[in-house]
Amino acid sequence: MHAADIAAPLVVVDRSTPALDAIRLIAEQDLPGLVVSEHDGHPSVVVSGIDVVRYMLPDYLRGDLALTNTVGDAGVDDLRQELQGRSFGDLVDSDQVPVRDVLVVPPDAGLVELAARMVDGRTQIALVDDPSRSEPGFITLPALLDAVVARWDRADDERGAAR
Amino acid sequence: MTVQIVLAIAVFVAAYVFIATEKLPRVLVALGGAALMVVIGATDDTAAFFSEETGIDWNVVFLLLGMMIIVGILRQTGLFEYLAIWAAKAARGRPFRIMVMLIVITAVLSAFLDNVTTILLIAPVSLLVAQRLGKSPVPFLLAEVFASNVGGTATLIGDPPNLIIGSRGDLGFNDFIVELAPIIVVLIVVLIGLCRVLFRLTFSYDEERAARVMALDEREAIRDRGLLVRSLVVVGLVLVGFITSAATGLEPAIVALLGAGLLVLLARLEPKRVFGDVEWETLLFFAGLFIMVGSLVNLGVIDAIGQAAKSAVGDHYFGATGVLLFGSAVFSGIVDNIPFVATMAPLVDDIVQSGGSDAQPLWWALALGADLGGNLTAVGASANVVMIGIAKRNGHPISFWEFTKYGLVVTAVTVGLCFPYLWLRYFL
Repeated sequence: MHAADIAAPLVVVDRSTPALDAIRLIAEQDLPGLVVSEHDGHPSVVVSGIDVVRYMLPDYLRGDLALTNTVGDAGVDDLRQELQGRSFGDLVDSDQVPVRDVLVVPPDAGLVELAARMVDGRTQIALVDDPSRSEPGFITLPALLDAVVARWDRADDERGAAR
Repeated sequence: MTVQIVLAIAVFVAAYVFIATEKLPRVLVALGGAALMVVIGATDDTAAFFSEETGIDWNVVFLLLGMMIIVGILRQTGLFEYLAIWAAKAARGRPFRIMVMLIVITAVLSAFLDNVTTILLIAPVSLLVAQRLGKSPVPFLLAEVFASNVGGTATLIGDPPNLIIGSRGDLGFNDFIVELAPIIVVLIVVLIGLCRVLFRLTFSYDEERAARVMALDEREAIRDRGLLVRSLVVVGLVLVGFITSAATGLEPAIVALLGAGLLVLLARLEPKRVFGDVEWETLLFFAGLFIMVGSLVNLGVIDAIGQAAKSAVGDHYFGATGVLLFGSAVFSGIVDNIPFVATMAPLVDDIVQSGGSDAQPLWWALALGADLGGNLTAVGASANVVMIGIAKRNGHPISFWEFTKYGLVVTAVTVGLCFPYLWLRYFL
């Protein structure tokens, strides 16, 4: 199985997308992160979900766990208030958030190669460099692991059938 | 003057310049300077390691280490967050009352904790409270860092320069409390008044916003009550140990280390959490600095300057006290007060040794000037730098001049009030 076989379209946001909308996308679509496109629509960088959460939390709360206990559920409303009016571009430009260039993999990369490339790039999302596709195809970590587990299951089934 | 003395002075001055300009990490400069002193033969292993006059003052280093371990464990209890939120709620969400409470808490904590640690503990709560109040946190943070530098002056353990002064001048915990705490209490009251005027645009009251402060639950800050109780018992014992130090003969450093050891045993935390807050770089900085200053003592440079200072001062200790107070304040406002006091302490010691009790106020002038002078500029004290960093990371940058605009007023008033205090108390 190759990268091109498991690639699928993924939501791509641009820098003007409101930060609150981007967070909603991650929540509603169970995304491991978000791909951000440049003005020409080309995917350029990836921000992982945990780094989006890092941006949501004020610095003073990240460094003080005892304090986070005191804010209660009203603290969640505070987060929304703080993010109001901010765009995803603000997040990308923030020096608190590590932003990685989107990992580009060849369409014929095997599952092990994909796993190694994603580990090396410390990313859960990769873009398949396949000009034949009408829209960009991405591989997410869950999709990669689905393919890996599916292969293990097939191998088990084949061994069971052979016995 | 021999070539060796010239080289030693050159190394010392160069190190001072590097520390003041922060071109290199100060720990590297101090250790590099100490190494060069060894290379040029200005000191040796015996002088550097086994003499507190010409080498590392282990009383200071181990007192710092012990307190860092104790505070590192204590801060994990959530006590400080509890206290600050309780104070904000006790002030019923009224901004000025909250600022007063935070100033008092910061000053009291600073008297017993390192100033940087105090700011690290109190700033996050202030940011949260200011956010709930819908106010800029900058006035609150500035007020706290001023209170921290003032409050830290009150005790032997409140500010690192005091540790050096205490060790060099053979002054104990109670000496600092008796001689400095009264004026510090006055200065905190004055600081509150100053903040009322300096930050007057911050204090409008909004009932809805106040209700959001009241919604904070301080009890949730404390998750391990057992650890809190054990920590408070040990802190209490350590304070008793400091106060009774003269009677028991236990040096404050020994008291702090015994307390740290006991708390480590009682806390039963993993080593990373026990020693995570120990600032090894600071301890090494002190060691390097002591070796550099000790080298000048070893070569007789400090003694020669001391003789010149003694001739200049004569028996005019009141004038010398004033010069030392204001000079220390200005110098400490511009460069790190730790190397300044490390250099001045042997000089003052020389004068006090020959002048006796009449010259004793020089120690207090040095402590007041060096500690309070930290408020003068944004780089006057480590706590200022840390607070400005926290403010910036949370989207509230404070420029050098914005800090200095307020710091100048606070330093002028607080140091200015110390002068009549010293006069009334020791020379009238």
